[in-house]
Amino acid sequence: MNVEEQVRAALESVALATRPEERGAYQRFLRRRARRDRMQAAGVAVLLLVLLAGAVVLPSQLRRPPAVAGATGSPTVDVTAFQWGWRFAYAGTHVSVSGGLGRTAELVVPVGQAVHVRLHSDDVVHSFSVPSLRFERQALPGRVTEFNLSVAEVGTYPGRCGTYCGLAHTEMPFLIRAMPREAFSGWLHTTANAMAGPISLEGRLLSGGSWSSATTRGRLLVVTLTASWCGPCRSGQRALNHVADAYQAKGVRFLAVATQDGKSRALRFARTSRITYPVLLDRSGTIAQRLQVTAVPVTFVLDRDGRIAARLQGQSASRTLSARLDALLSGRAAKQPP
Amino acid sequence: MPVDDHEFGAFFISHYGRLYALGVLLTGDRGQAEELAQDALVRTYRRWALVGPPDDPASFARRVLLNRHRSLLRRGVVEARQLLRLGADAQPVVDQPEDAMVMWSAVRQLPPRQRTVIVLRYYEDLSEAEVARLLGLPLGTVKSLGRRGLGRLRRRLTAPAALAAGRQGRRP
Repeated sequence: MNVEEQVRAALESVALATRPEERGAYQRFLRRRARRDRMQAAGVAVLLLVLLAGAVVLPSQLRRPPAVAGATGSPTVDVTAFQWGWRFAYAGTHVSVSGGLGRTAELVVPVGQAVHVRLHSDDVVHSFSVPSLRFERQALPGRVTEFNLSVAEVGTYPGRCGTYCGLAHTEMPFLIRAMPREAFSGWLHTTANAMAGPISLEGRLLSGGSWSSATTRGRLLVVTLTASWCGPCRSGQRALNHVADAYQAKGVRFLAVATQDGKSRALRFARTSRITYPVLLDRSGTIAQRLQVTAVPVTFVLDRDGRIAARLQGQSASRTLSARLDALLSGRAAKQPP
Repeated sequence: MPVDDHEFGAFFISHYGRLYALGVLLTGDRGQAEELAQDALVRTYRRWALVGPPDDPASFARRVLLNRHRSLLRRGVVEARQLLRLGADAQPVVDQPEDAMVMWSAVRQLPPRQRTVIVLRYYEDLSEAEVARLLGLPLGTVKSLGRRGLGRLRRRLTAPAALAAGRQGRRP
């Protein structure tokens, strides 16, 4: 017998001798199969739960900006994009900085502290884009986009509009100026004081002679910055005239400021638009600069002390103007009991 | 697709024994053999729609068993070598005729790959080409593994005394 036959015989006899009991084995098989099915079902269930939990938890975290450390006095800024410029308004203060059409507005922020930003758009889609911070968020009309902006180092970071928004899209530069915390709060304090104070306006009237806001102290004053070269100003003027007719009788004074305008053009504009109240000529735009105006028309309501009570941007300002005036007039009545 | 439990039950009863025996011959251990055979059959059951009749579920199950055995070997190869060298699992599987016993203990001491080839060639009666396909090895490798395995067995059998002496001598 050769070795192959011997191997064959030995293996066969071992296999025969270890013959198992099949019935019991089949019962064990059924138990094992059921256990495996259960494990698989549990595995699938766990996987589904993990996916579901992820789908529920992660998007809500994406939408919510990280908690703002409001207690440590981190500022909230309302950033508004408009055609074509930016306005940075520090919540809880009178500080509002704006720029546009080539004039750069500065967003001053403290270093190493999260600034809570609420991003708005007055008209079309813009985006708040700061390439050097690798940051960009869209500003959508009718929607507030919130985020935290945190700058680590002192310096200036140029920004621009990152979404095409019309003819002067490229003329919307802004600058983020990051300064140490103490310097920032100092800046905010002085700027707020400067802006909260009474505003005095004076200049040459179109109709000749000079005009000063001192003459209207004690009354509400509505100042509209406008210009003959500005289409929306012309189309919005009629509605504004109606408001003026209604409220001049109640003691409210109205003033138009022809910004960066020529005298003859402004005269023609005042005549064709039937402006019945005084028009100041601001040839060089100094008043606009002082009021941080970068786009006309814009309408300010100054209270009896000459402080800015409201700022209404755009040609449809007259819609909300009456409501503001009513509120201010009734507030005055309440404060002065008969 | 629901599996016909009656059909699979019949397949189980008729093939379990052979798979179990293959497991014993490969591992030399009844517990591991049962584990391998059961596992192979559970996996076969789960693929029954694909591998069941008219295909050949028996060879599918055998292939699964071999693959499982190989991964067990990979995992436990160090442990297995130690056990073999110490003779810890050297108890006879069953009471056997003397010459079959000698041959079996010689088979058990073959390196795993040689032993697998020998078992498939002489217990499962597969050709060298079939073994090569089943193990995913080149034909030449299977041939040389088989030849070396047989050669070693032949030497062991022609010198059983020396073998016995060697084993005795190594025992503490």
